[in-house]
Amino acid sequence: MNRVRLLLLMFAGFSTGAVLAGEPDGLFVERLRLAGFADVALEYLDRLGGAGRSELADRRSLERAKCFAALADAEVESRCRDRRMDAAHEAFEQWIASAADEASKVDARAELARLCIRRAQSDLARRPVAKSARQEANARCTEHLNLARSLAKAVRAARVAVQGSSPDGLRQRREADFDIALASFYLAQAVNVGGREGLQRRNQHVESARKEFEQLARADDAIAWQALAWVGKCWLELDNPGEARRVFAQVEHEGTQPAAAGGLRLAKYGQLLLLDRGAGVRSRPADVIRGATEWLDRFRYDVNTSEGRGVRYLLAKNLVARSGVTGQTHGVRLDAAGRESIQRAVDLLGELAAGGAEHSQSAAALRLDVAEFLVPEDVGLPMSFAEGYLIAQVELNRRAKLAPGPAGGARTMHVSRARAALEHGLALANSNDRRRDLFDARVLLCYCHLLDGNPSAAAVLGEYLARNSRESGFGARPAIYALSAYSAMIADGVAADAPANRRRITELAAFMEQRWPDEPETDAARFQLGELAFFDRNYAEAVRQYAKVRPVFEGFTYAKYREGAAAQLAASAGAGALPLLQTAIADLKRVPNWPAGASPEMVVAHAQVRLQLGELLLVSKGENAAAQASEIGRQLTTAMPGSLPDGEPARRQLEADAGRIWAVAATVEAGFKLNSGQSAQARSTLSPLVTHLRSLAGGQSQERRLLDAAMEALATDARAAVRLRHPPVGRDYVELFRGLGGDTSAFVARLAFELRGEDKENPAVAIALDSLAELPDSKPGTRKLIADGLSGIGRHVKAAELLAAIAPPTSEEGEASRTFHAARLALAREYRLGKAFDRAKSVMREILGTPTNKGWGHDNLDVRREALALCEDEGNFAGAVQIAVQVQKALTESLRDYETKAARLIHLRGDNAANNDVPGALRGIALAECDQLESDLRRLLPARDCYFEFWRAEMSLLLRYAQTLPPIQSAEALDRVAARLVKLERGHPDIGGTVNRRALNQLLVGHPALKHAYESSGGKALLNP
Amino acid sequence: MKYLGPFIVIAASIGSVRADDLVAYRERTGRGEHLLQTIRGRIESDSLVGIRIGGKTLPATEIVDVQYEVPGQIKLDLPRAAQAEAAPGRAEEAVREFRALLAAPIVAAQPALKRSFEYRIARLIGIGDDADSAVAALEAFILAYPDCWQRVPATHLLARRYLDRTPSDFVAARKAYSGLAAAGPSDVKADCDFAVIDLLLEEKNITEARRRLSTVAAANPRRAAYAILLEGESAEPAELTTRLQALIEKCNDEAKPALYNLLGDIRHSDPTLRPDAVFAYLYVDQVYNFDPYELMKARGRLAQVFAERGQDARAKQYREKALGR
Repeated sequence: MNRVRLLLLMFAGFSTGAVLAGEPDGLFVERLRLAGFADVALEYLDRLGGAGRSELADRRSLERAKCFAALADAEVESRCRDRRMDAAHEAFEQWIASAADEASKVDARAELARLCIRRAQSDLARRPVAKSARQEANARCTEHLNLARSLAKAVRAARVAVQGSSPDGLRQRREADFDIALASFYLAQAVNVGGREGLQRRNQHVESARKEFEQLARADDAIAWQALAWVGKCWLELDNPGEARRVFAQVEHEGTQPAAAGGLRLAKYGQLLLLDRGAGVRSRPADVIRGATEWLDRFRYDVNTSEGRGVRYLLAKNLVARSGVTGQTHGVRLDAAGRESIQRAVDLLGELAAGGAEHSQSAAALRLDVAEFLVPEDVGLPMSFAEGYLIAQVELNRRAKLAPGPAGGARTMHVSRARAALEHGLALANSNDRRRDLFDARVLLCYCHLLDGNPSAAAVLGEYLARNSRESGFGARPAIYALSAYSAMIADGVAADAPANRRRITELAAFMEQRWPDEPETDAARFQLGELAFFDRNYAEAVRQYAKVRPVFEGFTYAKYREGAAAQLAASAGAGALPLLQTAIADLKRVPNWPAGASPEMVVAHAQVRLQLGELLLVSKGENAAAQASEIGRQLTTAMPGSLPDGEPARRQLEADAGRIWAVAATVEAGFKLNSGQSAQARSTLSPLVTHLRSLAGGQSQERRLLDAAMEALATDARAAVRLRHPPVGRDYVELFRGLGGDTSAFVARLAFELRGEDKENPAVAIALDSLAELPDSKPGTRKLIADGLSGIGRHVKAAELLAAIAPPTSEEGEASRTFHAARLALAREYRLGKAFDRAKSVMREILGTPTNKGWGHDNLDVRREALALCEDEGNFAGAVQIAVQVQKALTESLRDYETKAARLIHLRGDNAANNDVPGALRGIALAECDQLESDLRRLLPARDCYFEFWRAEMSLLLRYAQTLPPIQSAEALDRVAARLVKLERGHPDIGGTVNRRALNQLLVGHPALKHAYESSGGKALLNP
Repeated sequence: MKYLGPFIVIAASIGSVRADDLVAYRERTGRGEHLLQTIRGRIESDSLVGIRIGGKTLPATEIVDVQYEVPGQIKLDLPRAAQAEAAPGRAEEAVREFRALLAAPIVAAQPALKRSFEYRIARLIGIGDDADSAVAALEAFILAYPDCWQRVPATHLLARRYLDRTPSDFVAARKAYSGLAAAGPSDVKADCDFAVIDLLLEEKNITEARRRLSTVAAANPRRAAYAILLEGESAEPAELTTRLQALIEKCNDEAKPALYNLLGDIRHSDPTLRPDAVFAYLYVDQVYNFDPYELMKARGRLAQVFAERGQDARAKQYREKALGR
């Protein structure tokens, strides 16, 4: 038997060996849980495995969920508590989804409701101070509490249905009602986003909770007494100290039976709160201190409850107040009693600050402020580890209060003192010092190294602490310090060390990934790796790293934005980016919209992610992707005014970007529909956008990129309208575009360009173009484009009218002059095409001038082409041939130059290929000449092509002329043309290039008589294309 | 006895009004359940067999505490002593208070009350950190009062403190149990016999343990379990575990505390099975916790097991519990 099988068998036997049939496993596990051994209970449940012998075999997962919940309750460290709550939540949900019996489902729902309340309570207690992060935390809490309320309501309904009015049923219903009220109370804190409106919403929830608690208080059981005390707490929250005092007193005086103990505990805490606020009574710190001390003595087993933490915080606060340092910043010399008070307060606050439960944040802040009075500015080296640790914390707190200044200033001095105190204190540490404090002090030392400009020390210490930490999860923080230190070393250090530091970053991040996959610091590491890859332009790796960042990371939204940007850059870099795009799109879709009442920063951050998602969808192409992008743009555009105040600087840009995404995406989507013949659907797609654009018209000029996108969208809609033979929208849209602040001429030009490609037989095209042509203030360039469109549908006379009306520019130079010249040439063309040859010739004369008085188009090839076409259309072949020959003559020199250089290049290349033994230097000279020749040939190539274009034109004219002659003369003329072709073939080895060869081949194919003559004359090369 | 604190305080104040005795005792009520009951009245007899009150005899093994009628002269002082006794960390103060009470002539005139205070003093010293002082105090009490219900818990505590010495004094512990077994009724004797066998097993003195087991009544349900252990001394722990588990599944609840403790011991003796030992002991601590001797034994074992698991706080908690602090 191999070793693995042996181990498996051992483990199998081991698992079931712990299980005894008929034993009260359920009771055992429950009692373990209640006795604070939930971890052992979990271990036991794991040992049970799927053992069918145990009575728990069928509800092991439910018991596991309860154990996780109990472990979470007992856990003081917030992250561990969160993980356990998450595990419990997941297990309860699994059970609810899969359990067969309804009763256990109801139990699980009740437990889950309480868990959600506790989770929200815990999250509320440590909401970040930064507004946007706080709002995100509020949103999460609201979600938990709403779930808790709905679960508790479902539980209540189920209890009513199943247990009727039995005592158990009644109690369980009251428990569910209590949970509903409690969730309402905490919901009040979560929805308070500040301001009058936030306060109103908060008070509504508190009032609702108060009424629910009051309802529950009309009985005489433990729940009723607790509910009554909560009524008092609600009055406190509603700022009605009189009612609060009355209710707390009622609990104190009437709640003498054991069942009232829970309510009494809360009421006594409430009374302390009233005393502390000094509401309506004269109170001194000494009174609160006495009351709190009595509370802690009386309820000594409840010091870790929510109220217990509150009482300890009140005690600490009032100890500080009694010492007389409140409101002072420094320079207070404490007497022995004051020092003792402060020391006790610092100890109490230290206990509260650890772990992250209620009051931990305020306790941590107050502790640091107060501890300053124990640590004078001129403090020497510490006498113990605890003192050193405290000095370091105080010094860093002092540093944080100073504005950033030059290196070597006061901030640096505080860091140096903190570092010295830590180093000295750690040297004095002994076995009485808490292991966790020692670890935290070392982490702080690592941070000091980082601040002190000593990243190598920070990197070494941070990595050591990370890799050797015994505490689960806590090593992630020094690891992130080490990563920051390595990054700093790369940025500021010796370039040669950079690869090694990069490798260290990668290895440490991989270690974090494996060791602490669920810690927020690991997300920070992933983000950092992403940034590193982004900086290196390794966008694929950047996307991979950003993709791993989870929502718990504080900068999650920004990380997703960066992921999108990296994916977009990867896509623009080339092929193989599709999977990256898909990953990024899927990830960005998971970022939720901002919650109601979100701060401007949060709205901006989330909106940027949505915009980035829109960009990615556009890059990923496809009609569906465009539709999604369009919807994103539409949603953002409509949501922005209600989410961002008018004065918010980023709002205008975001609105413009959202509008642009909407316009571009809707245009793409409409384009797909238009191309598949669904013109009506295309217009429907664009209709909401057009309405939105109309709403913007008349206001401020819109941002340029939005105008560009709007132009495309309106032009596409106009095109669709034409296809549907709808009334023309062009003029209307021109006005709309003007209202947006756009260049109407450019827009008209764009419209005309769009219409030029439409079906000539569609009368709507002509109507649309005519309507554009009637626009009074079109620029010359725009008129020319409209004329081109009219020309495209055969409206040459109308086109000529438009063009003829274009006035000459004031200057002979510049764009206006070029446009005028183009318009004149187009006018000649339109006259020609409209058979108005005299007018055409007149315009051409103006353009060409005379040999002695050359016009602007005398040496212009386009003009010559038009002149040739005019002669040809008029039937003046001789004149046309003459023009063709003139042009050829003008280009002969360039052609010769080209062919000489081409021959030289062929010669040199042949030499180089054949003479590998030529010395390198000589070969180098030849290569340099080759380069020069290639450059010259590229320059001469257009002239060569043009020469042969007119040569071909000459041949075509000769051919047409031959066809007009009697047979004998015609055959002779064909022979002459054939002889010219053979001469070309023999005189020009490349036959004027590929284009010319193909064109002449086509000429032969289309004229068999010519082909025959060509073959008879010995021609060969043109027979093959 | 920590959880009896409120009982003592309440009893002290009630006693002053009603002028009779109050007995707290354990009543077994089915599987896994034992209720702390109280009975008030005049104690008719008080010996190693137990206490007779209100027409019923409460065995010494089930008595938790007795609050004797308190004379008016010390009514005001007793609650202070009782409160100190119940509060953690105030044992020395409680000893002082009880000694002060003992000095009152009225207490000397009431032997049961005097014995009660002396037991409280011996117990408070007996659970203290100094094992030698503890042994001396408990030995002195047992010597002074060999025939009272308090001798049963005092002997258990004494035996435990003998083992706390360095090195553990197994001989003295066995001698204490043997003395109690010789003097006590059959149920006390049976408990003592098994306690002695436990000690012999700890000493690896299997022969003597077997001999001692043969003297226990065959009807005692615990005997079969010990027999499995002793007869199968050469068997594999896994095999012994299987047999013991089969016995647990068949036997009634009375024997289960002992059986689970034995199961824990066997599992603990084998490195492969050791991780499961904690569950067996915890079953006694949390479910079958009606047998004071087995409960104390399980808690002692749990202190050791948790220490081995590196859970120092729990190990300390169970060390305290095992001593009855």
